Amino acid sequence: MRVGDVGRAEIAPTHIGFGPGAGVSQWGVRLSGYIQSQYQWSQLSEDQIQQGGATLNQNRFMVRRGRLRISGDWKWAAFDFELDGSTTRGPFVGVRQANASFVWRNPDAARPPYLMVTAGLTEAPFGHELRLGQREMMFMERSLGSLAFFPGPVDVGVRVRGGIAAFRYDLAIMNGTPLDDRAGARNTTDPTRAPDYIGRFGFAARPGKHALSGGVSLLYGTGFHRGSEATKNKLEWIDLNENGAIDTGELVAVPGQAATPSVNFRRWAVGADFQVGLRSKAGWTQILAEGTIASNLDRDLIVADPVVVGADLRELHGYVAVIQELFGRAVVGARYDYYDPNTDLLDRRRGEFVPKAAAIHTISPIAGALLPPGWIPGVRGRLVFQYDAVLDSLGRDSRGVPANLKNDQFIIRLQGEF
Amino acid sequence: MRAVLLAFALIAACTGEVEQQIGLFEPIRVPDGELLDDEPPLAEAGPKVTSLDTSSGILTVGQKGRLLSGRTTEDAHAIAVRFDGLGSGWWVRPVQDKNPMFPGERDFQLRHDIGGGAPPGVHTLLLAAIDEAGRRGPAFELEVCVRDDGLPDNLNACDAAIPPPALVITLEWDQDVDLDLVVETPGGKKIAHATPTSGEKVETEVPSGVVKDPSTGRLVRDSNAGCAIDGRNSESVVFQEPPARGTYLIYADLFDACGAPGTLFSAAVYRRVERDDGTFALVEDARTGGALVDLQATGGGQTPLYVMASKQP
Repeated sequence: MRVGDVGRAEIAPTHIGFGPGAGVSQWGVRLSGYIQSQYQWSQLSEDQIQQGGATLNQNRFMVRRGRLRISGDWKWAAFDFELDGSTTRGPFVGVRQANASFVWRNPDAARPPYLMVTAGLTEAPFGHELRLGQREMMFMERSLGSLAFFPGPVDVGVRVRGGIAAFRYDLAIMNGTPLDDRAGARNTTDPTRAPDYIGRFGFAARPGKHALSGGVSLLYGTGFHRGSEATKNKLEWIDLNENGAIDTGELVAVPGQAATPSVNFRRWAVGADFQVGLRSKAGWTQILAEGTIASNLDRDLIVADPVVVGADLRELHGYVAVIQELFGRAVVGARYDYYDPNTDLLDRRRGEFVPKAAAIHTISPIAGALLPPGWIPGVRGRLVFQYDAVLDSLGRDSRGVPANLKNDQFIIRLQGEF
Repeated sequence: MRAVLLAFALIAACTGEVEQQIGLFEPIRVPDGELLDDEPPLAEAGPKVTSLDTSSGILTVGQKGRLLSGRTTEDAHAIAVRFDGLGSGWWVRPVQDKNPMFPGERDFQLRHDIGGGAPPGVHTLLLAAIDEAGRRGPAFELEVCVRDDGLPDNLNACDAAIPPPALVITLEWDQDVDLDLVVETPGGKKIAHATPTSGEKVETEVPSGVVKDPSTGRLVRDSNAGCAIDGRNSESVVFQEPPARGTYLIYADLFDACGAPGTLFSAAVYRRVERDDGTFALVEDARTGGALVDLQATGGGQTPLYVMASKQP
């Protein structure tokens, strides 16, 4: 195990048919990389543009991730620097890892170090998926709730992690503005002076030929309600009599508005994750489960802002997944993913407030073929198909009442690594 | 090490740096003035404000670039302003030259904004002249009324004897998006940005008598229309007099997300209440919230999102 892999999920079956990349190593410095090319199809696709100019078509080939990583690994120190090139939102190249570490190693090289202090752009230590690394993940993307809480897995800060026997710890102080994993996304800098505090306490054990791991994660941070900038005067036409022409009294002066202040708010999350790896003649069976309850943490999907709504938004997220390796040649699996961006949302019906469902359910079966190790020396690969059946209330029926939106999708991804 | 830390602390304390505050939380803001942290000492015999000109005593929350001008006694070096009992301090800026028409007096001008920290209602604005030593003279009091145009109330916040509209339906949201309030009347007419009243068309237009009828609902503003951000992020439909009986359906229509990932919104219904003493108030009757994401932007071409219903007795 490389030191740089410490703190990521250590459960062995995350490397089904894939294993550590071959890479190129010299003098403690290692060059490695991987490319994820894919074709995706979505029920949302139309040969039209959306209001605002974005194209509605999502049926296309793309390079989702093209990573090149250089890492150093010595007795007391380590570093990682990773670049990403992709066409997710048009051609893009950007940094995805840039950190340096001090390491106090365990004499047993197979075990994680007692202490590793990392500074720079590195993974936020929350839950299992987020720390897994995009290369090792068998599903195409993280679950919806994880993507909403953390638009990207990495953030800038200081991280302290390690392990003693079966105990694992991973703590960090970070900006609280994760770098969006989707290349070409809007760049944001941390708007608040207060950092976010993130941590996970867990365990990893190997009873017999099987594997067990899990942990509890915590996050406490500061969110930001953006104030508005001052605006200029403008003229507005309101066609009161609907005749399509400007008549007396239909031109309204809209005076410029003074700037309004930005306001901070608290956000927090508590999560638990559990992974089981069972070894059989067919290969590894992985059972993964993770749940998170959070407050005001959605930073991407339905961005939490309690200032306007006047109340904290509580989010609930969880998933269970099963992945089965088949004799080192294939893999099948499925994931059920639940995300509710506002568990307290109420609707008013017949004069009474009733709970309103905003939850999004995603069922994602996968099937894939693995390139047997050694067929192409130094190269590993897999071809995986994933279908996402999405049940939500983002659509509207003819009365305007929320309804399930047709937004299922599938992705076929070819991943090659050296 | 301790000596180094002490040296840093001493340097930091002795540089005379002042904290820069933009004062966005203040109920009144003077963009080219300074916000004082401490209350200036009062000198009864100090400089005085001798005259004050203002265009109106009605201030609107968010109003920008209002002007207060006037004169002080000659010994004034600065003019200070604040709301009585509101905000964290006085805003000050220098006074101007002596006024040749009024010997012994100086002119001043205060351009100011009205911030969101000013609650609607009647307040007292205090102005004071500041002398060379930083002491303020006696305050000049100006009674003003603050109103919030996000909730049209016919100035009921200023004078409770003025009746507010019979029914106001509002929609407000948190992101700079073009979100539209749509209200469907019991008769099926949708009040929206393209059809801004509850009046029905007769041939080519809604008759002017219907438009002016106080029981006709009217859209007050099309906020952020075409993503031209106006800083309001709110729209209202106002019925000056009770509208037709029946159920009014309230919708939110995300016309354009304007590059934002989505928005949280809150819709509310307010009704006029007459009190026993003959005064009136606008009271919130119902409120519900929701969210829209960018892929739900309609461009006005699809059914808007149903939010809630309000029954008009």
